[in-house]
Amino acid sequence: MVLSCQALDYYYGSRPALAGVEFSIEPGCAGLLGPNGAGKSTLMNCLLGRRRIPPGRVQVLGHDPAREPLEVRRQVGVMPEADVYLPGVNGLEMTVFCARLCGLPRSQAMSRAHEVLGYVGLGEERYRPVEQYSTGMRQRLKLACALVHGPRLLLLDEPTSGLDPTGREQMLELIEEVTRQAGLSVLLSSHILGDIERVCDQVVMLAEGRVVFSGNRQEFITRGSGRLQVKVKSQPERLAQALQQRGCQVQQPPGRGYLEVELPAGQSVDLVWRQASRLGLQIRHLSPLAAGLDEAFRQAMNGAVPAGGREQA
Amino acid sequence: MNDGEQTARVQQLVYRPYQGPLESLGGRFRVVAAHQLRLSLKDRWFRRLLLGSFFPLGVFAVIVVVQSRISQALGRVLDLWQPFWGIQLFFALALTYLCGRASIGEDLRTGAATVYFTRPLTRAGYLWGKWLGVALPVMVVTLGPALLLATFRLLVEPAATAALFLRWLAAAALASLLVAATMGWVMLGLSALTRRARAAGFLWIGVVVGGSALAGGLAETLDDSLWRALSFTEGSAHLFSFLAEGRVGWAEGAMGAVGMVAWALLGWMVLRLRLAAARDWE
Repeated sequence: MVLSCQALDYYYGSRPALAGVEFSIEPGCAGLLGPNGAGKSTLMNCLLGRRRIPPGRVQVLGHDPAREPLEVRRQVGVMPEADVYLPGVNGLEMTVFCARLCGLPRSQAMSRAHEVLGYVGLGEERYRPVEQYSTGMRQRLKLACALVHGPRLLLLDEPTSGLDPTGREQMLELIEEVTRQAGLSVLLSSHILGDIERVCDQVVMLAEGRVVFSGNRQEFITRGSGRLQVKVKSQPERLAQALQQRGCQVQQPPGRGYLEVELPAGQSVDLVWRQASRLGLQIRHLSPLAAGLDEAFRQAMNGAVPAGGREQA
Repeated sequence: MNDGEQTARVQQLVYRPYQGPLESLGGRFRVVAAHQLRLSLKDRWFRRLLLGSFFPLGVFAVIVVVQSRISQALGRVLDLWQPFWGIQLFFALALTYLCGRASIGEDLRTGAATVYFTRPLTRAGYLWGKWLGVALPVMVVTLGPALLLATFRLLVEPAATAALFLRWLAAAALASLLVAATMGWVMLGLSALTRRARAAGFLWIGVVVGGSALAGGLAETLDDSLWRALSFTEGSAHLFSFLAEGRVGWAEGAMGAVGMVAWALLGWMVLRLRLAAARDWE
């Protein structure tokens, strides 16, 4: 397990920013989803020990950030959302400085900085002052600074924010590469669903400081849709009619050989099997309908995620 | 990229985890200080002032050579330290302005504080590093020329003894350390008050001029020149003169030291209070 939270609360004054947050993340790429103000950045800061939290509530790579914040930060690379830069330095100097802050000796820091800047595609621009960097270059520089000390876990806060489509694509490719090839674990915080859909295999969703879903991405998408894709060998209209009589919403997309079935509240998938059996129809395919992360997100936000996964109130 | 280009690549960049040695956490403040100094050295006015701070040394060397003949006849050493220190303090004030005005406020404004505090760096490490980035140039322009002048006087002035030389060295070291501490913490405190470097610079000038005016006003009102030592320029000069030459009494020397320590504590308190209210400061 890369990180876990148990009953984590955090307040700004009397306003709860995080309330009873519980989830865990396995190695790989996990997405932290939520609208603005959901508590994503606060959670990131808690994971780094930058907010005072009670000991024992959070574990990051086997360390408690409340007790060992510096050890956590040594093993974690952070790419903050804000446009952070050191004024008066160039890209190389900033990367070297970040490496030195993490304890790398001077020669190693210099060598790593050159390598990592080349890796993120800033090799040609490394001697330019940071103030002259475009938004995309600054995002890449932040990623380089997060990677330079060789972390085991990356916390990326809105890494594609402000990027054009090409820049976004390149950034996501880099994130995929470090996750899949280099074996780093990544927690990617974003409200851009496409980013999460593209690179993450786990999803944690926050709303108003609470976890509304935590689990596998596919599970989130399919459970979030609440609909089924049903294919029968013949006479799908008979099954559609029978299901409609029992309160199901049924659609048959034109030109497609399957039905889209939305079950009424309290009914399980057994209803479809029972009706098919009663009508003597052979079901060839039955699976949850992948609705896409957008719809899953909207439904989860409305509290419409059906039981399953690890949803929490 | 097509297959041909892919296979023709000389070097394929892949991510490599770091498995080399790491330096201890205790020395991390040096990284912050070195960064501050590197930034300062990029400023041509800083470089000019740093070099310029050694020019008065040449003038005083000539004075020492010329007047040593007179002092030989008089059989005593010259009282040179107070004017020399006053000139060096001017350079120290100017360098503090250049090095310190952007120290903390700029970090909060540009988000650089996040760069520091998402990495294994303690708050103490950050503050000591920032302080050293200001204090070191101040010590260079006060202690450096003072040591050279003391050595030169030992060589040239017949009445200068080894004991006197050691006294000069100790006086220069102590006064220099106090000046660096005072100016460093006051400037950092002012820098934390505003996110604009220029505004912090104006505050610094205000504190120096206003502090002198306040100390002068108190001395006039209470009819006691001792109060002048509350200005940290005057206080430093009093302290150094007391330690090196004994030209002023112990009361003035002590008042100078107390005044400087009080200014340093004030700067430290302002800094802590301001940073306690800043959310990035965690």
